[in-house]
Amino acid sequence: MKKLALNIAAVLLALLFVFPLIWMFLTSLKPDGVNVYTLADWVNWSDLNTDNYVKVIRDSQILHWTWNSLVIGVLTTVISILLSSLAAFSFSKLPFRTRGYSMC
Amino acid sequence: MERSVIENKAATPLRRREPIHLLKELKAIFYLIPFLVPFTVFYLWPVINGAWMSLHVWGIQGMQKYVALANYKKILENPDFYSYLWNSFYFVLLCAPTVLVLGLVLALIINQRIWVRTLIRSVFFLPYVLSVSVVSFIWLKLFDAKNGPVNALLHALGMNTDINWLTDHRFVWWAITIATDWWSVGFVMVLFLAGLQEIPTDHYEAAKIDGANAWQRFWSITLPGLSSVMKIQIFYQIINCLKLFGQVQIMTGGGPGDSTNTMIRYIYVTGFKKDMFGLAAAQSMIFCFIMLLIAVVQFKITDRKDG
Repeated sequence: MKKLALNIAAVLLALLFVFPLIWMFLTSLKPDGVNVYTLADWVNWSDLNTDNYVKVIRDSQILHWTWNSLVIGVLTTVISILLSSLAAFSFSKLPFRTRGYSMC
Repeated sequence: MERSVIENKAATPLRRREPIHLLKELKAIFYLIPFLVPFTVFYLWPVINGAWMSLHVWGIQGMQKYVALANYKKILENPDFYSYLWNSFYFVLLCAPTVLVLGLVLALIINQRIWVRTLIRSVFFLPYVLSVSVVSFIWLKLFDAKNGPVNALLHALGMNTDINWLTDHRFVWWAITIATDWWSVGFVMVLFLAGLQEIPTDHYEAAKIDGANAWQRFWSITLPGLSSVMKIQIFYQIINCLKLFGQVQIMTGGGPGDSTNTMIRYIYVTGFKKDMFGLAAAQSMIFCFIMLLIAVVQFKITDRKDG
């Protein structure tokens, strides 16, 4: 009984959390200028289409921008891990005297 | 053996006078250089530059005049500064406790054996991967007074009037808090979850045998077991909330009136809207100092608890 209540609470919370994302997804499939507002809008799936996606991919350089983000992400990760692991090794494994002054 | 010696030395660095081995120092510095060079160029140098700028009248064409501490005096005499500072701290008071409590509750739920546990955990963590602009735009539309689904939901639950979430000063902070909580609670939950899994299960078994109920187990085992995670989380959340900018900039633009203008947005407006870079640099230095002060106080408090 207690278990069931916990499960239901968890599912309800999860639905509440995913609600903005579902709303965003649904809106992205609706034609421009159509709001997903009332319950009727939520279940009215007749006007769903992928026009917005086609438009974004064809008319903007979104694929190129995504590639840019990826390059930045990979470079940042690799460089920062490389540099900070060297520094961390020196701080944790090498017993040097000036360490006390360099770590504040 | 060697390890304990190192730890001893770290604890009392000044009492033990050992001769400096030049080779040892050089070796350590050699490993540090790849980090220190970018750190100096991209972090230390801009900070020093900012401090230098804060002593000048610095317009869009660059440096105009050396004014010493006049910028600081001007800021501290401006009542706006104090009201924006208060706004920043008000947001900490709203957002940090709610996100911590919510994160703890979610972690406790996820830690139980529930249906589709992995899926639910992913759902809670999902908003955290979005960027601040995406989150702010989603909630800007959701909180729309006329066409927003949030108001539609409240209407469905029997509310008659529209709530002007983003233009009513009574609700606007809550709107921003809800958006921020939704965004960042996943990360808080994951850290708490890691903390929960470190608590040994035999503590709970022993408590059960002794007849402790669920509430007592939570207060006497779970919360103390989470104390180290909790300290880090409180520290991180306070700093994070003080840095609030994107949500306010996109969702309210500081409005209604000036009621959601934060310190960071104040700096942004002074620097990039009014082109008073010297003044903005001085504001940044003051805010940076305040944040450092908070960090130091917090470290002192948590250190004492460790005993």
